Amino acid sequence: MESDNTLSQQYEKIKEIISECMQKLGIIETKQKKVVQELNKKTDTRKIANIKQEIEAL
Amino acid sequence: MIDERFSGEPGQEEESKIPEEPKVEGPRTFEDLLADSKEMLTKARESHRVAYEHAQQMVDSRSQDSALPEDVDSAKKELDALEVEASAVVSDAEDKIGQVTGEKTSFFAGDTSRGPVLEATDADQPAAQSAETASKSQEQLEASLQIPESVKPGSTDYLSYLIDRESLLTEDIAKRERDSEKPERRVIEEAAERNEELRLQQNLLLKLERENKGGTYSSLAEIAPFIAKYAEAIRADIEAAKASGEPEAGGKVESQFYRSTDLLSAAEALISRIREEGVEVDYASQEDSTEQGQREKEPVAPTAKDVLAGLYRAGERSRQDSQNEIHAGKLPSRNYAAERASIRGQAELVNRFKALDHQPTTEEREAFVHELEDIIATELAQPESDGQDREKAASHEQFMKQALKGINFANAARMAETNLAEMRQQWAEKQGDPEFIMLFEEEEKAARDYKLRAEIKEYFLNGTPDVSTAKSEVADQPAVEQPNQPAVMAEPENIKDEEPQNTPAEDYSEDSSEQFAEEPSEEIQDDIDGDMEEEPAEEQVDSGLEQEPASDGQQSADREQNLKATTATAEAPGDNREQELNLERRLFQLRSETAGGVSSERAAEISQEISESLENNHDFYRLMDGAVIASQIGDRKLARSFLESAEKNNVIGGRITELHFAERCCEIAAVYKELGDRNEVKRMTTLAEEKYPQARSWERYQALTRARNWNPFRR
Repeated sequence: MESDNTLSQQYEKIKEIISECMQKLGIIETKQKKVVQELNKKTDTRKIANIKQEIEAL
Repeated sequence: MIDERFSGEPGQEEESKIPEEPKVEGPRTFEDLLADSKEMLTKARESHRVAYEHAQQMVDSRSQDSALPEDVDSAKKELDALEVEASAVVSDAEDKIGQVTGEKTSFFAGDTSRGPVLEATDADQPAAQSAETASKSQEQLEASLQIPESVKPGSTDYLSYLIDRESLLTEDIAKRERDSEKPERRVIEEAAERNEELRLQQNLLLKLERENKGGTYSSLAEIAPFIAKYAEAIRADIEAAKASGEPEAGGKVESQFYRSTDLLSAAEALISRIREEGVEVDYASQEDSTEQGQREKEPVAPTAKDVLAGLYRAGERSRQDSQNEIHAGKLPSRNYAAERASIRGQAELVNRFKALDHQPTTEEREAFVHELEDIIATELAQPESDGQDREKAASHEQFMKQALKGINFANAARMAETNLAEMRQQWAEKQGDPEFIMLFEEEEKAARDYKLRAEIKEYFLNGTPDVSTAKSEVADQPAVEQPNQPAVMAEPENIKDEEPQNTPAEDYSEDSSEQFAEEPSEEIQDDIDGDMEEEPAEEQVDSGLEQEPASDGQQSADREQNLKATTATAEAPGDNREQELNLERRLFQLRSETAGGVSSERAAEISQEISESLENNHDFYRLMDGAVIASQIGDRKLARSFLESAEKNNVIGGRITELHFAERCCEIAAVYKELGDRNEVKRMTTLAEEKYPQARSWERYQALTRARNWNPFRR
């Protein structure tokens, strides 16, 4: 019985650890998304500038 | 027992990535505990790997889509650095599990093909960093969500803030959903709702940014109608959903309604702000916003007139405010402050025009020229009622000079000449192409027009429109006041006489260090001056035009007819061109001279001169020159005669499109208006509208505006 309790407590703690781990990974993924967003923004701005130049050259 | 924390609702992006807890009642043995731990951590790691690979794919795809290599490299490095953090997070979890179980766990030792791919180093302390982020309190989050008041809605910075806010809220939602504490559903929903709203705004702004083609917002005026339009579209969707009577529509309608209310409030606040700045927003374009698919339609931007007129009014208001301040004793010099405000507004206006100089179409550029000239003419024609004629006259003249300084006509003429030169090289192969001929002649006209404008500019800035005759001609003929004639432009000589009195330049020199320290107009003025310095000498443009070959094939039948008529004795095409230019210059001088009125004796001389020089002439614009001059000297009969001839030479075909025809009708109508012949005005404007009913409203409006505000310096 005592062993079961210990196992159960360990299990709960592990779940907390993994939950915290997933939370941190989620934050990292958000940052990754932001990196992609930034690149998209830069690229779009560049594309728009190119198009604008082409239009102005007409 | 399955923890409800991991049972998120379907359809939510973040929740879809949350691995489900192994469906076991609890660890049976210590080995089961280890196996379950590994399974949970593996799922977390696997989920992250998918996200990481997706991010990598996105970056790779952008590398083939106009992204700069250095930007792609930078993004990859950032992703890799984040991956180092992820590896450390997983290792940290492994260590902690090892501490709990009392055993050194290494679930993924040697396994680099799955999960975070980079190893953490001692220098990287992502876990602590992430934990710090994760432990942000609600207050901190709220504080970080605030957009500073100094950031203008619609600006690129505003967009960046929105993106940041969205990320923070996404983090917040993820945090709450994964938090070990019992989740508060209501708070999560509120956060999600806010996030959704931000997404909406962000998407809207991104869309606007793309539609704006420049990536930045040059003014609030450009964004407000878009926002208003989208807000209206949302509201229309809501109404449509309500009208549909669908059972599920209720909830959606309600949430959409609140969202759109916020957006509308933002839009209205923005529009209100723009109104304060003096720019009117065209609500008429929103009339059809209830139609299905309105959101996909191209938004209608404010016209050049809206923006320019708004700036002008803003300048006027600023000047008025300054005058009020002077009256209240808050400012030391009435003249100085009024002029300062005026010049600031004008400099803004000029700057605006300069920006337009880089716009894609000639029509837009020309429209701005016309608007600017209209404003100048209106300013000059403004009646004096406050007994400060001299002061105001100086202001008008300064206004005009400032405005004209900002317009690089010579550059525009040079560009048109360059285009012409290129087109001449293509002439042999495209000789039979009517569209090419039309384009060529339009470009030719543009070059001539801009060159003439450059001359006008020189005329007003230096009083020397033409090196050969203009100065002496004008100097010999001082203006004589004729109350019945529109006081469109003051004579340069008069301006010069008055200039030493109370000019802004004088005031600047007296007190410029203090009063102008914070004025943006100084910079603008520097720009204007810089442009002036860079502007090529008019002689360059002249020489370009004079060297222009004039082969028979380059002239349309219309043009040839004009040349034959105007230069009957000419022996060579080059002579024809020179004669035509001389006639144009001479008529321009006469228009300028007669604008302020002339003596009856001089009027008779001018009447005879234009009758002779335009006899048998079939060029619409020369005839209109004659009509304007005749109108200005009060020779109504002659003016009518020229107008009738001009009308006969306004025939659709060749390079005369229906739009050109309509515009010319309006120009004729404008002179009839000056003559007070309402029937003819109505007949001509009706003709214009009949022949060009398909004109977009702004075009028709532009043509009619030109007609209403006809002045001799616009063509």
